[in-house]
Amino acid sequence: MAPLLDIRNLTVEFDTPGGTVQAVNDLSYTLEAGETLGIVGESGSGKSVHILALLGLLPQPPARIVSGQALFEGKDLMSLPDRALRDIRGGRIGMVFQDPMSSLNPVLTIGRQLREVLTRHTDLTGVALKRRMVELLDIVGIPHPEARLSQYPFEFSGGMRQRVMIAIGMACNPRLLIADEATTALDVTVQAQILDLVRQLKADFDMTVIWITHDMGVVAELADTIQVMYGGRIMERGPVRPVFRQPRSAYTWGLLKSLPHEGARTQKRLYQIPGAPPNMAALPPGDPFAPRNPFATDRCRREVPPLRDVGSEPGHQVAAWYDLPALLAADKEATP
Amino acid sequence: MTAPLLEVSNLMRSYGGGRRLFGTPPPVVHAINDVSFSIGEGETLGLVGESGSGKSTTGRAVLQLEKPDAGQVRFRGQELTGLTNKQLQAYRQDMQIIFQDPYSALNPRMKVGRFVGEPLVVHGIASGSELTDRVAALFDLVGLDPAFMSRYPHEFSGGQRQRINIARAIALEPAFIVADEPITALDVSIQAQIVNLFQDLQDELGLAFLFIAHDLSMVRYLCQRVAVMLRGRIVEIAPTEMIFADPRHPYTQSLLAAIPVPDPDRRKPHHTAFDVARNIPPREAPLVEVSPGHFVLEQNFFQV
Repeated sequence: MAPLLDIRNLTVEFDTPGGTVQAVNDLSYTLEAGETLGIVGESGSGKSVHILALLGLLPQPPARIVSGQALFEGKDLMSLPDRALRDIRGGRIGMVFQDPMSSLNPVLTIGRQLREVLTRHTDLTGVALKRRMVELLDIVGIPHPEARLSQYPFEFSGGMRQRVMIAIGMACNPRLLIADEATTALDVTVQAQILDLVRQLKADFDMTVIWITHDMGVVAELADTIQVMYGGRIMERGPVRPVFRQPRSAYTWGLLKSLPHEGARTQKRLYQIPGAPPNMAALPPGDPFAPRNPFATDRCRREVPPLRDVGSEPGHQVAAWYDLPALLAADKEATP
Repeated sequence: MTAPLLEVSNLMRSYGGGRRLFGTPPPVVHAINDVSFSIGEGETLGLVGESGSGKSTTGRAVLQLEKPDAGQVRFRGQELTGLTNKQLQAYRQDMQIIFQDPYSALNPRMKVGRFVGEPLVVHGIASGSELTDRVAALFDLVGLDPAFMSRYPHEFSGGQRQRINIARAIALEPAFIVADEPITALDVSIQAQIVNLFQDLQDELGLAFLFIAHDLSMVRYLCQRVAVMLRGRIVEIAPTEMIFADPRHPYTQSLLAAIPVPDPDRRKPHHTAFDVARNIPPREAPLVEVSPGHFVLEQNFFQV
């Protein structure tokens, strides 16, 4: 069966006064129906930009889509006319962004904003439309949904507003839900409830999910597949268990190692990844992480490594010239 | 036992109320309510809680950046709440603050060297070449190249900007720093660098911290004791490992259960929601010591 989403050789650049920013570099990956993909990365990793590019939400200029295809249910989103893309956004593909306050219109009621999405993408009217709106707020766990429909965004708390955003994102039973740092601004207790909710919705509606975050804990809780991005490229990708148990990219390894251990008062110092995130207008010629990588070889600094299969689990891939487990084992022997 | 560095007792701060020329007065919100804690020399106290629980207000009220309505703040035994701004200036040398957003805390049109040296000038401590030398030493201390002194804030990354803010905060050799979510806005790979810097500064300068955060795993690593706030009240305060091993207040329990664990083999089943609206801590309930150093807000206050 063809994958639900198939991104091929996507390259996105920005023209800025400081030079050309290479935001996404020859990115390719596929997403199967029903899969939950957790994308991890920090500023400049390309994790958000590539999503905006395939949804047609990047202003051009300054952005420039240099090459690439994004096949969604067989159609190439990159070559679709604006009108057709608008039908897909909010319809077959639902979106939830980070800041619920700036994504909602402050002068329209929640009901009005939900209705807008539903009338645009479905044939519902009258009583059926109203029933669906109430049902949606109920699904995302907003108490008294009927009364809440006539309220404005400021009358909702941060967590409740994010639930409204999720309700809007999934209003038309999307095949694919994309969430970009959707819980980052929320309290941990609220985040836990939202993650529960997404898991529930996945199970009930067989939704496919892309969850973009910088929190390894959230990925571990939610995702089937993890994709670690840096400098506009995939550094490592695979089923969550093997990637967390035995990371193959020095960047993934560093991210996991820099987290405080549990029962951490005995830990003297946190591991720190040296250096700073890359300047995207002046990326190094080879592996973008090489300047910060203690295991980097000359080849890493010279040549971009391709994504290749590693380990025993199918789907586990890494872009690295080095063999991390072997290097770590040698390191351990050298310093007992 | 020696007296603590900082002793906060029964601190209160509310907003709203009062009289308006037109319309009804805004409702009174008790941002912090009967907050008491102490911090020893060189100690780090973590302050956690949901947004709007009063964490930041507490930090600002302790520093007298915001006048508390009632309560005492004693720093090395000296009462600060009644002092005028002029009298407070002497204490400001010893107490500093670091904010969450490292960029908006900086002046975009001031070279960072001057920004870091400004407190030394304001307090008349150094000038001329001595000032330059001291600023260069501060840059060294926080891991920045002193050659960067003549650059502007926009030339730095987020982590470097936070280092600049830290350099300014320690310029006057304070004994106590309020760090208000200092790593929240930073990239993950940079957070560990800044947390390690805090540790180093504490070891070298004997600093005490009030570390306001919502990342509990970092708090566990960095803090000797933790206070949990809910709707303006401290509901639990204890040595860090005691909080993690034996959380007593239901809010603390739900907070700890909600931390996402970076291990796919330890996925949690459903979380039980904590209904804040139904569990607003009663204003008169006392903190009860359940084991040495471990205090919990009395929960069945109304039933008692």
